[in-house]
Amino acid sequence: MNRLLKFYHELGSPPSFYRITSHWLKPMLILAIIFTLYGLIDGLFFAPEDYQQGDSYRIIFVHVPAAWMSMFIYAIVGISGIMAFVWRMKVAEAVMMASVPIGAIFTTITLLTGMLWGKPMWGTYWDWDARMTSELILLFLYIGVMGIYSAYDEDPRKAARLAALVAIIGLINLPIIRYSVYWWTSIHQGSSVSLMGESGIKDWAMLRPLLVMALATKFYYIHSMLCRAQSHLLKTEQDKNWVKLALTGERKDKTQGGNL
Amino acid sequence: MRFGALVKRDVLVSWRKKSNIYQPLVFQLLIVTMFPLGLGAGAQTLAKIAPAVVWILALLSTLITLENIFKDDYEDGSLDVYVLSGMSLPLAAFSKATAHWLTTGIPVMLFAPVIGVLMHLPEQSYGVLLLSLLLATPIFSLLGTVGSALIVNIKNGGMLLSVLIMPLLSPVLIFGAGAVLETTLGNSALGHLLLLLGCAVLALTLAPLAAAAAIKVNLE
Amino acid sequence: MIEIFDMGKYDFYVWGSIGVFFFALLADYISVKAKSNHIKRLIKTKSRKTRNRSNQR
Repeated sequence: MNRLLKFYHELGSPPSFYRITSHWLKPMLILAIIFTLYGLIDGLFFAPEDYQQGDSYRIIFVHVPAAWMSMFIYAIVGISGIMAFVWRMKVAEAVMMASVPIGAIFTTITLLTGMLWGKPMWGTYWDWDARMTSELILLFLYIGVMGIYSAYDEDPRKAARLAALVAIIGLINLPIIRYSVYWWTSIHQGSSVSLMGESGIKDWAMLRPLLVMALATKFYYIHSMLCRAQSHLLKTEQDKNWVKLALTGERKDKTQGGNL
Repeated sequence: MRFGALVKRDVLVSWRKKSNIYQPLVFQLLIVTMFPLGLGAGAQTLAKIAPAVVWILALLSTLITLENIFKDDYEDGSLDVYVLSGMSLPLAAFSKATAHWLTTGIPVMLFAPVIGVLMHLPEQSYGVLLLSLLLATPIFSLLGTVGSALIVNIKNGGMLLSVLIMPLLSPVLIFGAGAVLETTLGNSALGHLLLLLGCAVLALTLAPLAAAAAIKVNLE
Repeated sequence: MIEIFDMGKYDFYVWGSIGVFFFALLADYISVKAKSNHIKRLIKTKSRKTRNRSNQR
């Protein structure tokens, strides 16, 4: 427990966050690539066909992991937003702002693959069903956080605090939005065929690639987020001594490796 | 006592700037003219979309007035004075919302039946239309103070304000326009109105706090 | 070999989705790397400049 607490405090200071996470970047990326390759090959070529949707259900292996990530990342944005707003932690600010772009990308992937799935299933690229609509509103929330941050580019700390506030407001509103949208679709239209279908995923051979892909997207998120967070910290702390040390130290390591 | 004086001042300032009052109404009239021109003037066609159009116009016309709720007070330093004089910021935000509601929300609400007539809104839904807007216009004003407080430091923040506010207003629109739609179909709108009331209570408790937090960051 | 890539009548939708997935994440990867390199180069040139200046003195 003590060690965990110490680790947490260490991660809270920018220099040690930078030092510790530098070691994680490569493994995360490699894991993400391996899992993606395995998951997609398994899902696209070996998983059995769905008896209702045929081969088109295979879109699930990119659509659903991306959808999970879009919501998971917003939760992280909200939580690190709270930490950034209440305790003014620089690392939390970095994690929050680094999570937003990748979250927006996963949301966009979800929407686009959902559209590509909707065409064969519903006969139309876009249907205002509850999932699609709330996902679109989620994209607006991400855009709002990014927008307010980039509008204050002369003062990044202030910008981060305001963006954190927007993220917290969004986090409080997200359940209300989701509830209202689900309620709205249940009243205004007969429920369309849900993409997940009544058929559902019951077969282990179908579930396995899905879970592998869910892990792969998580690993890629960690890689992308940490990389962006490091850049964010380097940029906001560029006059500090540790930045110079970290960057020149890196170069020294590389030349030594070359000589050997 | 102090709060009353603050509201009085805010209402007076807002009242003297007449554009706050007539701008949304002119906007609504302009846009509502476009619907028959674009859709064809058939009463049946218009009546079908009337609940949504009346509601969306009320929302959009309020949205264009939100940007300036805090701008003047921020620029002339009144907000700094509030903070220095120990005035509670949530209370100041609440007073701003009240003033905005009195000078923009109520005219918009009272004007909605006119738009309803122009859109051939079925007769039985005017009561619910007014009731739903009575519950919703305070939400517009309250959330508007939050949005306005967030962008107070930004030039041309109107677009950003819309992006920030629209997701928050989507449940309000669903419940409000839904209530009117239900009555045109001859159903009870009680459920919709109660949910709208819930949104109003939530906005009333949380929005002043959020607006105050945003102002505090902006003044640092 | 081609048979394996056959998705019945859903070729376009399935491969289109996979394409969207990879394209978006690749774009993210490239932008992350570009941003990180840009920042590092910026700081290095800045520190070199200040070092040169102090050497001249």
